[in-house]
Amino acid sequence: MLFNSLNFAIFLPIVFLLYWFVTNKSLKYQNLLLLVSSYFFYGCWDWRFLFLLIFSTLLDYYTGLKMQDAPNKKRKAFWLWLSISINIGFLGIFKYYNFFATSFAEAVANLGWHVDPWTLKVILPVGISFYTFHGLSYVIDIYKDRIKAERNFIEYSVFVSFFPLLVAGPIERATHLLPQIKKARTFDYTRAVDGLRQILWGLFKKVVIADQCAEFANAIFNNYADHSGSTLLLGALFFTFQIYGDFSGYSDIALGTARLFGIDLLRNFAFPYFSRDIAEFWRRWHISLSSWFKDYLYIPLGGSKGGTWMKVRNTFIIFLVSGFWHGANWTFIIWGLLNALFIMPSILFNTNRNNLDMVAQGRVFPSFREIISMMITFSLTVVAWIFFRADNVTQAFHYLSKIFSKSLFVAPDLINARDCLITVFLVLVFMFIEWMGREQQFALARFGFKWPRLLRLAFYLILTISVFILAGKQQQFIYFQF
Amino acid sequence: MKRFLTKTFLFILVSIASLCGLYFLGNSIVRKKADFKFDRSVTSVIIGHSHPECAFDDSIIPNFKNCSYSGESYFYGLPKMKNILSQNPQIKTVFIEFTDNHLEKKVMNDGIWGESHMLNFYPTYSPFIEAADAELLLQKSDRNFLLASSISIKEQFLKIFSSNYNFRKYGRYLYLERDKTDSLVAQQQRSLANKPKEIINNNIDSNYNIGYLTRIINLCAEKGIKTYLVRSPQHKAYRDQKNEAEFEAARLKLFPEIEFLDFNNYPCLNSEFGDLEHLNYRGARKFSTWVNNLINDGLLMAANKQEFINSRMPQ
Repeated sequence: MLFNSLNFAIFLPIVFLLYWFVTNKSLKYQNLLLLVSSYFFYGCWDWRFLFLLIFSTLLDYYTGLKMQDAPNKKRKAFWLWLSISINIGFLGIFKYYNFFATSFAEAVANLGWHVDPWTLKVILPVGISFYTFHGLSYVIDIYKDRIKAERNFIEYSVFVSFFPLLVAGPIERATHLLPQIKKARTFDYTRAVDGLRQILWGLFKKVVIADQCAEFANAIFNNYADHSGSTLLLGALFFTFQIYGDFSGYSDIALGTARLFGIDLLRNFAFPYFSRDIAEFWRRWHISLSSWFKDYLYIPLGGSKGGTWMKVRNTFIIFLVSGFWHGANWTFIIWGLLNALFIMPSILFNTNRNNLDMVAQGRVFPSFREIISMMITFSLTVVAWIFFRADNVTQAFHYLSKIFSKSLFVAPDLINARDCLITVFLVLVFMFIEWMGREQQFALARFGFKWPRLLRLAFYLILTISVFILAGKQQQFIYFQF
Repeated sequence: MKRFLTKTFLFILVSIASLCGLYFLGNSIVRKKADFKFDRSVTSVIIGHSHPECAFDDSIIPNFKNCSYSGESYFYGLPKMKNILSQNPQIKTVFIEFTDNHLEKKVMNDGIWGESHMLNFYPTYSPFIEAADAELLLQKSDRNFLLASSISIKEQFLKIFSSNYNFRKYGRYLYLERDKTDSLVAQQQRSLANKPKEIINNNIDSNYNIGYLTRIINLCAEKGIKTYLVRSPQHKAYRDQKNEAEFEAARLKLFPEIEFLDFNNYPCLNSEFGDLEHLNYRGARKFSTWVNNLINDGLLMAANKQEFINSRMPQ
């Protein structure tokens, strides 16, 4: 069930009404309703993978309790590693087995041996990377004595499978979400309206920006050999806005939906394309994953405590793992590697925490220096996205080399120039609103609050209508594949 | 909570009302300004899908306009014909492609409410589609219909803002350059080795598209316009796969009164086909020249037209 589908438009009000009108007297029933709805939501993709989700939930619930009750540290570590091995094992089988099998076959083929790799013909269970990471953070936090194991199975299951975050995050922490699930929730008008506003903005990002950009990005990337450098550059820019609109749009809908149920999820995006360096970009892009890697990989590896060499090594490790987390393809690994290279200057010169505030805070216009920094950072991310989007590494290099050819200076060759211009216009409007609202949790949070009420309502109406009118062919959310 | 629900409900209501308003406003403006007008000299037209679109080069046949369009079913052909006939009273003859794949129920029904077809054709013709026909689309695929309706609003307003009401472009002769028939024939012969002939007449009663062909024929009859069913040339390898007896039986059952001009066996070389079902520009040029000669020699005056065609069929 996609967030931008008719099914979800029916599902959400039903669950909302049941939640606040039927089960509102008891927290237990409210949580049970959330669990059943979440399983229904997940089962709409493929009910068979529900068993995997339930198994993963049971595993972490049980190992969590065992760790809590363990008589000594050794026993505790045993249960931790059992949970980690099984979780990573499942992820490995479903997501990475075919990649390793075919890569091994290709590698030995280079040595002159022929091996027929035995590959699995299974589809990747949607959201597996996200709920596996939920579970892992839970058991690691128990091991580190940051939290106590949850004894209520329903509450723990809601933490793992709460439907707004189940298939594409944000990757929640037990320390943040579980206390909210355990606490009685009351309806808050302001929070609910804010939630609706965030859903609307998320839908606009997904349907109007991402899906429109996707049509051109797909057409250009799929036939990159036939296009000029300028068209390929345009294709890369379209993909840059597509992936931002798609994923941050999804996160906004997830956060907004959770707010309707009185739950606050972790913020996942904070206007990353306004970053002044790559370190800032990674503090603003997919925040819940970056902070997960920081807390559960970078810091346990020694973080930045062991001097420059240690910092460089650990930075490369987390970017490579992050790339690999996105998918079993060399393109993602190179994408991670590129980002590690891009962030290196600020790591080496210790400037990675220079830009902690929002650009041009309290001002409308940025300074010349800020504009140049933002443009450089944006250009670097565009280059990295080419690897992320390409089908294989060869295509990415060809694509990139063609951009930097003479044909970069000819007019772009597009079949549907009219729709292309409309999309460019929409992206500009979108970025303007994002810029104006960049100091808020999401761009629309306070946008237009000083306008007359009727004008603001008309603005929301225009956004709503544009979501319907510009809904083209429904595109899957990109991050569902991860 | 009451305040939240009331305001949300009102906002949704206003949004839906605005969308409906925009839908009807856009459609009504485009309906009034739609331009289907051809040159006064055009007295005969052909409609259908990609087969006639690639076969009839209307620059070779005088006073003739090819109005076919790839993938267009009779469902979308009906509103188009209504407009063409009402804006071009000089038209006296309508040729309608009727070929083997029109009897393939699934393909044809998909051509009406399948995702890609509905999203392509509904936004184009929505200003002219009657409520009952739109209801059929809603019944058969509510999701696609809602999507197509939303795209339709965008399309109509783009026409309005650009003042471009030209609907003649949704019908044309398609100059097909490709020439892949040799490889296609070889591939098909391999795959057909042990395959039985295709059953093409699968439950014609539930083939909605045929119902719309009947309505097009009736529309022409009401206006006193002569109608012919036409089958464009197809490659022999394609013809061999189809069950000719079933096609003939279905045609006679459905349209016994309508004259059928069958060009299916018109001989073309592999290099004159774009693929097994479509002539390329070389084939179209040769075929259209031959059809033009047939018309000049009195094809439409002949008592037995098929005999007339067969007697002049090149060997």
